[in-house]
Amino acid sequence: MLVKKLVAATTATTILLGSDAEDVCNRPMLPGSATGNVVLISAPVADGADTDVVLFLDEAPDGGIPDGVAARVFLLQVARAVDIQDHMTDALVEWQRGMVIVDNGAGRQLRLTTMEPSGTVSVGTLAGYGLAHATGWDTAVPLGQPTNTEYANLIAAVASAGEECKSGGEGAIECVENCGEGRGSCTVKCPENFHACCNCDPPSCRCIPISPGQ
Amino acid sequence: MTGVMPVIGGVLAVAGSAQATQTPLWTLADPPFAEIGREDGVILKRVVDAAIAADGSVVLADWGAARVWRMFPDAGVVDALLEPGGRLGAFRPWRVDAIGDTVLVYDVVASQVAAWLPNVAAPKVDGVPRGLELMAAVSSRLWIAVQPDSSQLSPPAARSSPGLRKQWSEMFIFDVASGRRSSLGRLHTGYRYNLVQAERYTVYRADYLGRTQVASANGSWVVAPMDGAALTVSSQVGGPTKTVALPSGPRVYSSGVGKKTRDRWMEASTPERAAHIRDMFSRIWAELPPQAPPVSRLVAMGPEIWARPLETDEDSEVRWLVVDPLTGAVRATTTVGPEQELLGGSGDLAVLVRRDGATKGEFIQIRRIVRSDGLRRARKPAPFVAPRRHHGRHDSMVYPDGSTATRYQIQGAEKCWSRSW
Repeated sequence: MLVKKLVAATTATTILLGSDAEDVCNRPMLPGSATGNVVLISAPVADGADTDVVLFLDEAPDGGIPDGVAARVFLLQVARAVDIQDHMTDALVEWQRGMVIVDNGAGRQLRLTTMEPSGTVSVGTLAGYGLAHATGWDTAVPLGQPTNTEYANLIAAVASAGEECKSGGEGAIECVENCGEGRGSCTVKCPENFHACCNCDPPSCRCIPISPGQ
Repeated sequence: MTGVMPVIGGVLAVAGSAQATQTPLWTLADPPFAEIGREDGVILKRVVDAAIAADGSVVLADWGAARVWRMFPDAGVVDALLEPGGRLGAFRPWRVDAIGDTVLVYDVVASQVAAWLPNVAAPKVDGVPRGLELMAAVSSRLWIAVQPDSSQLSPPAARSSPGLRKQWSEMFIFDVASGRRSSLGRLHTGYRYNLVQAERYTVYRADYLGRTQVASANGSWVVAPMDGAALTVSSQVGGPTKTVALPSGPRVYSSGVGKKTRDRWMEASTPERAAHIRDMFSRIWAELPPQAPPVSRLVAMGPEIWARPLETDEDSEVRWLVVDPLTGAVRATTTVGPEQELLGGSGDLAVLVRRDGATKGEFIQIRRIVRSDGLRRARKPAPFVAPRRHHGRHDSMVYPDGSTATRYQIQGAEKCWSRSW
């Protein structure tokens, strides 16, 4: 049941890939960094052949403490089965095109990347074919170790995203949605055999496999 | 049996020709030599590439089903090649090549190459750097690869500026075993279209306008560039690059180009997006370059390369040019029906996929190549009954004319289902 929910949630979640479109007004595509609490979950997709790895970042304002809301969501699409559930407190998160680095300041570092062959799983590195980044979610994130119920709540929040393509869609390899003042944005760039799909409410972009026969 | 290859004379009509020569017309024999996925219980979802190994086995890259199918036509058995750990379904094949008896499969999503050596069940898997797209295998470890270069765009405006833009790439010869690469130069590989709206931005593929194509045969690789009316042939052992002038010279885009693509995209869109797509396509016609690429597809067919001119009417038969990379000559022409797509083959057999747009189903036909020049005349086409999966005893016998038949026992009933010459 939980697995099904994870699948449903992550198929609707937001993706933002490293892209060539930095000059479009879209803040998540620009390199940046923040400190805060991180929650990481994985969910099988495509009959278990792929995995979506979702990273929620609850940013701490300068000199402050996290407010319990994940304003940023990163998602890595991995072309293999991966099982991961993790959290870090007071972690430094840096993002750039094709790469997210999480460092907890105590010797633990995790990289989510599209710069290496997808499916690469080594100590501290997860590689996928799509790396997503979205803002404007305002999802509640536990300040400590999440319970199963809290994981489920995160998943439910992600699952509320729609699947309609306001931009992107059939034939698109890349799309960007700016959802308006205070409503966040998302973008995605997709490899061969996928098309990009972007929409809002909440900002939701994703690579979707091209259907057989198309 | 559908899909008969008609014979249309033996002389290629040359218009604007750079090579005004008569070339023989080869045909594809009917009925097919073998079929896969029609009556054998094998469900194919989206076969995107095919090759024939030196041992005669036909290998299919089924991207939709995440399977690499292998069939020995003489035995009729169709099986999926096992992935590391004896699994199935994790590897998503995008390109397949056969170098001798070694089967090479490229997964563009996972950026991996798997090599199945003869008599070894588990493949050897090598990673490919992200951003590098493998186009064709030259040897069991060397591939021709391209890397799109987003900094080299034309026109040199901001990358997000609206309109049609050229995609440039650097071409490499890439060693999957060592990870080393050598640059072969930079070239124009295709088009993209940027659709910019107030709050959103989309980059669309424009592959219907053509893409630079690459194929390899006999240790050589052939490139059909986007701009230019000739193929270039290079060899991994060095030597000068040969140029093959195509009988079909420079051609202009017709209004029919991309219409099916446009309609398909609109059909899958919301009304608002469909209106934007219609507008985009109308703009593309205005921005199109004056000259279309001469070739839309290259396919390795054993010792030869088959080149398909960019079609302007998708409903008509497709003419292919048969190029010998050793001599750089166009040896022959052949035609393939519009309902079929040529995926690969050998010097004697062609592997084609037939798709049913309504059911999304598809199956493979393997057809003998009938060479009218007599250089390597194909043997008599054999009536063939589609092979089925089987579990049971089998034996074979030889007929007086030299052909063989293999008998299988399927669920207790003996059936003769395969005969080969």
